[in-house]
Amino acid sequence: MELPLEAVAPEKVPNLPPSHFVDTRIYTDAGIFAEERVKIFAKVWNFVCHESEIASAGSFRTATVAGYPLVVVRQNDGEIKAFYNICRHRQAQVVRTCSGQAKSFQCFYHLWTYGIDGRLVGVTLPEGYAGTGFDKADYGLREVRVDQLAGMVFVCLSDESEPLREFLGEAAPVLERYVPPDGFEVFHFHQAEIKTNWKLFFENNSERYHQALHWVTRSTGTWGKTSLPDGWTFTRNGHNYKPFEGARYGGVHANVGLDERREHMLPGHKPNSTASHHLFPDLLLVSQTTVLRIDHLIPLEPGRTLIEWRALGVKGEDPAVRAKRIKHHNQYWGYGGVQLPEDITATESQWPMMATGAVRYSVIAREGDTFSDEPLRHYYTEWSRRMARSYWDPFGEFAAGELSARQIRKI
Amino acid sequence: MAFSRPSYETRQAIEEILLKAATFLDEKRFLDWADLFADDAQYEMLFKSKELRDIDDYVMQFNKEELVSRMKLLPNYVIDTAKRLHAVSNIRIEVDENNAACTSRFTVYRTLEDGTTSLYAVGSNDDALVQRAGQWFFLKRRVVLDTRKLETHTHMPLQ
Repeated sequence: MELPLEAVAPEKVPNLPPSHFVDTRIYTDAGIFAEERVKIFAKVWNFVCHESEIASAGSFRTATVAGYPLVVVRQNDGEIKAFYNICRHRQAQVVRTCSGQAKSFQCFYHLWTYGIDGRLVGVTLPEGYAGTGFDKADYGLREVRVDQLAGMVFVCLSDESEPLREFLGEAAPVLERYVPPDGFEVFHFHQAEIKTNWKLFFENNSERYHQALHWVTRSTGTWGKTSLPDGWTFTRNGHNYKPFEGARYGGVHANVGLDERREHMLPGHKPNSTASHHLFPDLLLVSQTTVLRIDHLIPLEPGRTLIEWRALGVKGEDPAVRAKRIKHHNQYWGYGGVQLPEDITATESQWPMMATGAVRYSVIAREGDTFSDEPLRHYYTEWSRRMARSYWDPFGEFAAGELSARQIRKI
Repeated sequence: MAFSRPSYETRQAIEEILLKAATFLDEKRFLDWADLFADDAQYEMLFKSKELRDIDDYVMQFNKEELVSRMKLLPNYVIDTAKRLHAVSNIRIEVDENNAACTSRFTVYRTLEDGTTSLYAVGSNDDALVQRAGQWFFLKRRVVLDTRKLETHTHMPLQ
């Protein structure tokens, strides 16, 4: 890959271990962005929806993975299948709504019809294919791998990649322990196109000391070290989690118009506690005692990301309890909650500054406590492995021996 | 209640509340905006979620006390620096003595520091108003967003 053109020479390389800084071109370079699609998103298991969104036979959701349009549909036997949402005839979009219920899928253009199992069951003017060798059995919707864990539906575009449970590794049983006996159900969905690189929003959720940004956490003391115990767990394939079970933020929240959370707790939670799970490359699960939020990042351009936010409660629960959960979600992490708008504003402010190239190196050097940058370093180690580029030197510009002994200490 | 078309004066008075609400949000006069709501008022903002099969997908729900609390705390938050302009149109009003039902459409524009303007959100207001001591107040404001893919978020109500 050619080096990006630069008008300004970079600043001095940080006198830190290389693992402790990031070359910001990994966020801004168009070539790297294109390569992420091939080397990461086309290889890993990608979240597409929650199983409750396609609860009955024939119910479907559309999704985009690595830029490819997909449709995910519940089968008559309860299984879930996923297909490229592209007609095998002349490549028109088959399913044109984001969700719904179908007995079959008919392409609107020339009316080829597919079963919900993807088989081509009807073609227009079939007599015209007589003698051409055309066989409907060869032209079903292209299927992609699909699997579920803890009610979350994932697809993988690669036939070579490991099974889902293997990809999630030690994170898998941790996620399963939060599932209520009756299962989760999505009660809220919204999305936004934000003007930043997708990895910057992942980072925002992965490190804890950006909580200083939020007035609500500063003012309630929940930003302090005493309220958030240590205990990040880093697992293979770049995933990590931090079960803040028992983290205390109760009482003080009433002063800022937020509810106490002591009832209708999700499994594994204590009153007024939070938990956080970050799944490489693009999925963030955060919970606050009563509500689970799932953030899903969909890269559009180096500086443009679609984020889907889902909030989940317990399937089939009493409407009064559900109303409470909806309120809790909206108070903190919803569209107009006390934190989410600030997280978006912060991450949107980074990208255009990075894109100028005036300051190349980003510092992720904190160690040793709740506010460590270790989650970011762990994440980018996996990013580097998959991209075959280090995050501190993505273009291989450092000559051998150029880094000081101190700098290579941590490699 | 039997609602009917309002008198000219009543229509003027209720339209004035709607326009004041929009202007107060334009000017970030958040507590003045909250004063337009009755003490027993309810405020809600929601999407009709296509993704979740047309459910009412609430994103803000406040009673009057919560509304005032949020408005008081707004200056503390890191707020989008863009200027927002709130416009109201297509106003329809029906009245039954001291109660009124009102629907309207809204648009919110966002102008960045560099002067670029974009259309931020559109939707409709479904309002119930009540007249107390000669003054009209919102008793319930239901803001239904047509726009479901948003840009930068905000702590502020959109209408």
